[in-house]
Amino acid sequence: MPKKKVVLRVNGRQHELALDPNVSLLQALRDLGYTDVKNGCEIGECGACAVLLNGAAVNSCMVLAWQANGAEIVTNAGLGTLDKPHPIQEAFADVGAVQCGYCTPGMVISTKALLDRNPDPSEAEIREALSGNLCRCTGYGQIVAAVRLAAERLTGERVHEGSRSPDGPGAVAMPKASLTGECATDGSRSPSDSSGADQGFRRGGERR
Amino acid sequence: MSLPQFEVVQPTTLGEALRILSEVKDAEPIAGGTNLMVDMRAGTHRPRVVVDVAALRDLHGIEVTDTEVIIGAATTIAEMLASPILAKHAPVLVSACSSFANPLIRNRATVGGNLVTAAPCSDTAPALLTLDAEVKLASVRGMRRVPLEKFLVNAFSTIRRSDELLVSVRFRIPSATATGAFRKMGLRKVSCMAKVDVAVMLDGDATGRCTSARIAIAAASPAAVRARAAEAALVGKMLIPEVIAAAASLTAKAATPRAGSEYKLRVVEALARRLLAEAALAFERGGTNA
Repeated sequence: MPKKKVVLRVNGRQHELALDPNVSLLQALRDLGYTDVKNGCEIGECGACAVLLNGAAVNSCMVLAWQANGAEIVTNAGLGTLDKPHPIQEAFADVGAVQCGYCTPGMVISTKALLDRNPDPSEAEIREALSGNLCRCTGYGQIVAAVRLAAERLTGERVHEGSRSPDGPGAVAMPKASLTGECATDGSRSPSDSSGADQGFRRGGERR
Repeated sequence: MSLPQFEVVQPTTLGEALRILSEVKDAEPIAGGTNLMVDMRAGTHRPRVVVDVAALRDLHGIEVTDTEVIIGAATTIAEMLASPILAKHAPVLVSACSSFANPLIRNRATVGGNLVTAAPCSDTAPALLTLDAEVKLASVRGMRRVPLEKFLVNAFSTIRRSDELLVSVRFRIPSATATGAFRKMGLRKVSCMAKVDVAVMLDGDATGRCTSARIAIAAASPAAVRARAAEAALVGKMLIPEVIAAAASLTAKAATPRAGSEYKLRVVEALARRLLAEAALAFERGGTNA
């Protein structure tokens, strides 16, 4: 079967490609160099390949590239760069929600989809929204904390000195799991760099 | 893992899609791809031609008439979850959609795909069975409407012929006093396949007597099924605990789990008892159709 001309609009850039019919959106994106879209399981279980397809978070391994013809696609890299990270990406780094990093792009995409429709999610809502994204490092506590922190930063909430945790100013309040020393941060950023990391986790499932 | 070789055709009208399905051998429709993409990679499904019906207008949308709710087959689970029409008229279906896989899958998977695939653990099937839903099948030979109960034949088997396309699912609007409930038991709280699904829909008169009952189970038999004997044991009775317990026990008798999965009989009975008790309570309080 001949290739077909397919237009993929990825992170604001338009690509005109000639693609075979049996190419998944995941493969097409990676071949274009969008390697932030990870190939995890290719059976729709892990969410590492998640992208926004016309605003909805989907597993790109389940979509034929031809089906995405003309659609607006956003990958993790389309949300922000190293120099100018998106508040969600920044929150993931600040809280130490990135361990091996393989699940992170998909986690960030699912977080974006969640916060776009629910700017102030409870912990239960966060866990539900990320339920299609597996973290095999099992660092879910930090990831949930990162989403809370991102939600607070995005809604413009700021932590006031007076409402700091009782551990004192600058205390690093991390999920309990991370206090066992299992949390791998890259060391370049301390969670305390971010105003609000502590409150982000402690508020947990509360709604205001 | 790359996909095997196949052709893709992207018809722009329903008529064109039906013509392709009737003329082309080994053609398989695709919408969300959440089943077919997996099966094609695994080699368990080898269509020569894949007919992309995801964008067909005729297969989309949720409508309500004076008497019926009609859901286009390519409506996604996420769209059903967000539908005010379904929230009002079929909360039992919305409840099933809320426990369906995970948000990433819900944005692609469609109700038509879920029914046509006919996995034993389909979540939409038991909810739709309690709504006494019908499916509409179209082909170049014409249309036919089939009760969902007849449509589902066996595990991964329906009465759909290879040239037919499931275009919509419809059900009568439940009475304002009817109340329904759905419960799934899986290995995790979220993002899991059902080990057992139970859905119920009860209605009654002003005295609290049950006037109609529908109970359906999935993942505990090759195809999702109605528990007819259990339903008959409820109709005409006051919904007291003894009646509910007897109906729950009969619900388990409708289950035919595979060898080694006999535990499902007990799960079906327990879930049925809880759901019937909840529905009875809601019904006593005036019917929420919840």
